[in-house]
Amino acid sequence: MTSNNALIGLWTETSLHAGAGGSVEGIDLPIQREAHSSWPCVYGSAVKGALRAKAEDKFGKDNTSIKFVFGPDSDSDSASEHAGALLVGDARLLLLPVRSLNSHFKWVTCPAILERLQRDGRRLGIPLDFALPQKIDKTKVLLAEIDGNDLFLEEYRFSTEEAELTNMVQTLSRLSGIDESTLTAQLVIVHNDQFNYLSRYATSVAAHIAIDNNSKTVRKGALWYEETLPPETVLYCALSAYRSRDDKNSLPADAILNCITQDLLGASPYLQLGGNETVGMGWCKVAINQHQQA
Amino acid sequence: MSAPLYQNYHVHEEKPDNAHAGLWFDRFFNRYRVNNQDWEIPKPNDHQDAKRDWTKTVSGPVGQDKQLAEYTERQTALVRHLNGRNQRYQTDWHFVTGMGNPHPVENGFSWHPTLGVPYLAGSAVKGLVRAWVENNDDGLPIAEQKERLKRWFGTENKDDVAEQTGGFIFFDAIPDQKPNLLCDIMTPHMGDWYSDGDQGNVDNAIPADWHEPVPIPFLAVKKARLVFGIAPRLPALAEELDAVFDALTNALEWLGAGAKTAAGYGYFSPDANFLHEQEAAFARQAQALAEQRRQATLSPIDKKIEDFLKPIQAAEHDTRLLQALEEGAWQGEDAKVVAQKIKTLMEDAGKWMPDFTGENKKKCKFKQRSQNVLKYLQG
Repeated sequence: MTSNNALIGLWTETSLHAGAGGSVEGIDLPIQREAHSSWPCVYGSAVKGALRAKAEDKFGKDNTSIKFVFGPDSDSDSASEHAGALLVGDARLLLLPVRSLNSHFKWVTCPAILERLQRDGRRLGIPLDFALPQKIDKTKVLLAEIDGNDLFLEEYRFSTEEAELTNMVQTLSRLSGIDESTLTAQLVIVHNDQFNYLSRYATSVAAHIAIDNNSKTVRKGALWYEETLPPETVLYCALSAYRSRDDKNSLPADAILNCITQDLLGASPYLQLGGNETVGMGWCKVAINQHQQA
Repeated sequence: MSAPLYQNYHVHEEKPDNAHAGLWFDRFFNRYRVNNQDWEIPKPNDHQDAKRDWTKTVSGPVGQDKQLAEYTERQTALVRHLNGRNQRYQTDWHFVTGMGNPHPVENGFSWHPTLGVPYLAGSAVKGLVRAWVENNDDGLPIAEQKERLKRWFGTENKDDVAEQTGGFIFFDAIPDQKPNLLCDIMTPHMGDWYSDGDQGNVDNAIPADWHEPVPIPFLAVKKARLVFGIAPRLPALAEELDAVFDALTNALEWLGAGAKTAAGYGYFSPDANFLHEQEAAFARQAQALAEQRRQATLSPIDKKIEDFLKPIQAAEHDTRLLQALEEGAWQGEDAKVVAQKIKTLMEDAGKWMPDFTGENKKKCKFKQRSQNVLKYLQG
């Protein structure tokens, strides 16, 4: 069965809270993370739900393409007739914005993340050609341009090393929609272990309270700590489309993919992911990368 | 959350110029002293006050103008895309938010994670507008007001399962230029009474004038302008957007945002210039886009002609082009295109007269020039 694929880059415009449920380490509302790496992510089910919600808003709930692409409404009687033709992967972390004493923030990533990005690209037939960074010392960071100063990420001090990142910057720029000069100035590559630490402890955790309007004091028990991915986080998500699974009115794979990449996201390149929509969270700018067939 | 860094970390003594001020504020407090193997912050004396002196290292303008402007542009584009609207408000006086966050100088501060400036989170904006609507009925009957609360903000009681989410999206309010911070001082006169008054039996737990006043320094915003954004979540609510903005304006003018509103902090007034500035900016963007589109349709030679003519006054366009053509700047097909362009320019200026028969010196010159162009046109 042939499939058509796309990689969509998600550049968060506002904080993003895709909640994991349950609390950990003093955080009442932690974000979703991958179990094995603890890197933040947004589960594929959440991304698919967000795409479906946007599509239903735009084309109406009864639109037949929506049924082909995402599958029949799970509340309807026809839920068991066929599955959706679109496969939506987890939104995976690519660049994490981390506060710095050298500039307002740096976009931090690590070899393991970049290597996985290339693997995802190969799987989808979307070539992402750049040289992976060689071994990085734990006390060092790689930068496209160094200025002689050590780099502070949060309270950690790193010595800097210049690296040839032109191709990588070009690829990441295409994938994310961030322009090359900004990326060149702000991209930082750290050792995998350091990245793990930063991705765990450099996300923002904000205290929230609820105020009782009559007494103007905090409502009893209403103090909670909520973790978010900060604005400027870059994630990417793999989409694979197959021929629609409804036997009668078959749509080919490229038409299924076009429903998302052109009709849904083409004219309106924003997607709201995760919770707290009404307090402005989760808005991502979408960049579409598709393998161009000759 | 706030522990001293290791000594051999060699951190900066002072906040570096481009630093994220929030990172500096949250992590780099360096005024501890070791006393019997305990970390303590020295008590204030005549010459120095560790908390005040350190708070001053964070005061002054923070953030970077370019980043703030770019961020505002992206946010307003998003809000506009969602059929929402932005409005800018200016602080009337000081403003402070996030004082409950833990910090060695006692009072924390709310910093934007990437921009390093104080801001108001969307949740705070939503709570503020809600407070105004709850307290002020706008002349609505009670039932209708309740309906409005539910429609705008969603179900209030979320204990079981919330029935409905709010109809409006409240975005973070973020400065579009560098805010100015200052080290402010509060001086509670009866600390024991405030902290232990409810214990009843503690000495000094009465509000009386023999208590020692204790000055406590804290970081506050001296001057800032914040851009607020609100968008309807459902298209049907778009017509109520103005009413929501009215509520926001009233709330900022009368209730105040952030902490210490009873002491005059946190009041804002709408900034009338913003809408004009925004319209001008949109017009500029539209013009730039139209120009970009036009440029994209130009052929390479048309583009070259345009670049050539850019620094030259309009009145000299035809003569200078012809001069360059005669000097051999263009060959073959390109030369024809350029000649055609010169012909058009001359026609527009009423100088095209290859067939002139008369004595007028000026017109003879035009005739000569027209004929020269014709040679190129015929190849």
